[in-house]
Amino acid sequence: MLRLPKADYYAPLSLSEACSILAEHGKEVKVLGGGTDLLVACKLRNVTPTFLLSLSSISELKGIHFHEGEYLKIGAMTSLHDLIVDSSISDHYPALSQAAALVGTTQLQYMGTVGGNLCLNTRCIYYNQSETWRKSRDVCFKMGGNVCHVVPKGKKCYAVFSGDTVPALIALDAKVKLVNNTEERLVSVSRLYTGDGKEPLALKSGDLISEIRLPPPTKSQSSTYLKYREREAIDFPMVGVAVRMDTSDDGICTGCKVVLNAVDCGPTEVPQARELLEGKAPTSDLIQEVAVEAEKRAHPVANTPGSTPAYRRKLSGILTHRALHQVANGLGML
Amino acid sequence: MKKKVAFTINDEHMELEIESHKTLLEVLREDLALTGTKEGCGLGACGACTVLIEDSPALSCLTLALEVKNKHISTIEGLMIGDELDPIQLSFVEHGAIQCGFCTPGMIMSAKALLGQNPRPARKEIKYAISGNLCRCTGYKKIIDAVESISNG
Ligand SMILES: Cc1cc2nc3c(=O)[nH]c(=O)nc-3n(C[C@H](O)[C@H](O)[C@H](O)COP(=O)(O)OP(=O)(O)OC[C@H]3O[C@@H](n4cnc5c(N)ncnc54)[C@H](O)[C@@H]3O)c2cc1C
Ligand code: SF4
Ligand code: FES
Ligand code: FES
Repeated sequence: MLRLPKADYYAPLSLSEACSILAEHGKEVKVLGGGTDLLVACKLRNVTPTFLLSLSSISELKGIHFHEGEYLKIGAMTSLHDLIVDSSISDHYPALSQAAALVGTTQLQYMGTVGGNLCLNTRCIYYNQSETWRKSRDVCFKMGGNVCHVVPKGKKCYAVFSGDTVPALIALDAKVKLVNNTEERLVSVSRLYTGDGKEPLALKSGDLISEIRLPPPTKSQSSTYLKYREREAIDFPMVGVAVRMDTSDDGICTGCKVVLNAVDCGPTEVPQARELLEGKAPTSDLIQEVAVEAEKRAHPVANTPGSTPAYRRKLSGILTHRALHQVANGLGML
Repeated sequence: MKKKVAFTINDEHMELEIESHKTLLEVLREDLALTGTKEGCGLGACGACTVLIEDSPALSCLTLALEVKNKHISTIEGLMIGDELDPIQLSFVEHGAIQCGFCTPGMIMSAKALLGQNPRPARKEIKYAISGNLCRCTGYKKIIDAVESISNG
């Protein structure tokens, strides 16, 4: 039986209690959402917290509600399954429910939370391995050592970020509410990531994500998330792409965001999408230009099972092309 | 550290003292001798440890036992009524959907969750519902047939 390291457990009933525990215990504590990433990492001894702080008993962290027409609020402990089945998401923010439905397996969608998906650790074939497996090589940057087995002359960790809902949330201009013992603040989802493989999250010590906020839906908007993986039923992405487009009545693109997944240490926006498409009626040629830019923005390295970096770079362009076509078609623009 | 927790397993209410780092899978198999639920990978990737928590499929290898406080858990042992197999179990037997049997408890619990929500699933929905359960023997066809046959009747 693969066992967890010994750890204490506490499940506070309120957010404020959770924040004070986090402030008091600092780095020895790990926050437990659905546990589908963290408990795997604990079993593999990638992390060995002495204390697990479960958010599962805090009812204010669950659920999906419109807030006075200003924004859609999603509690951080809302399950991915709820993102799939809730019609306020599938109707108005299709990229998000599509992304949730492409995470892992059915069981993982019931267990995994959107907060946990936002805070998913970066991955690498040399890191997501048992302790015994890792012992056969020098300790790499991600585990506190001084080498990288993927980029041998590299000076840092290049582990890949692959949380599937994240590009969708960025494309949809989502914000998160961060709460700690002394303050709360709203931050764009795109600002949550450092771009560093070792420490991928820009959270301050003691920060919790309490909710996600999506801007109110508009009829003239469409979005999608496409993902390619080795085994359809379970795997993390080789590449993912989220696209959101807004249109005016006369078929002009008034806003566009393209965000790639799993091609770098953080989610990767393709700013050229906006520059090339906004203010114009999308055409196949313009879409192809954006796809070429997406391919240039992708910086995959050889740390993902089942694919080479060259393949994933090429795939970034192909999926971007497909996603833009799909969204522009859906809005009747092509 | 040991903590007290109460939950219901297969309609039986229990109160246990459990080490805080124990998974539900360890408690089922080692403390309660409910060894029908299997450990395959122990890492969330095979579905062999699937049980139902409040009728939703969950991986017991990645669930802390303390997290199921006051919840209802169903395992493969709870499906038989007296000496009668549950219709899903019977259908697996009749369709030859079991070879080595290691994936079967998890597979059946995933199917049970699906049929609880959707008594008439399409073949595609059956495939999706069991897509988190690996089987190295059957090639899946007979499993899908077994679930499909009871969803039609
Ligand atoms: C076999 C397998 C396949 C998978 N495939 C995919 C996949 O295809 N795509 C994908 O995106 N993911 C995948 N996952 C990873 C995981 O299931 C999901 O990312 C899930 O959404 C994680 O959520 P969780 O609630 O279980 O996170 P947890 O494991 O509970 O937490 C993950 C991290 O987030 C932190 N955290 C959790 N909640 C909060 C919060 N509210 N505030 C601050 N920090 C928090 C935790 O401390 C931890 O560091 C897979 C996992 C497995 C085991
Ligand atoms: S990218 Fe390099 S440093 Fe980072 S986890 Fe992989 S091998 Fe380790
Ligand atoms: S043993 Fe739980 S998923 Fe494999
Ligand atoms: S019957 Fe052997 S693994 Fe499925």
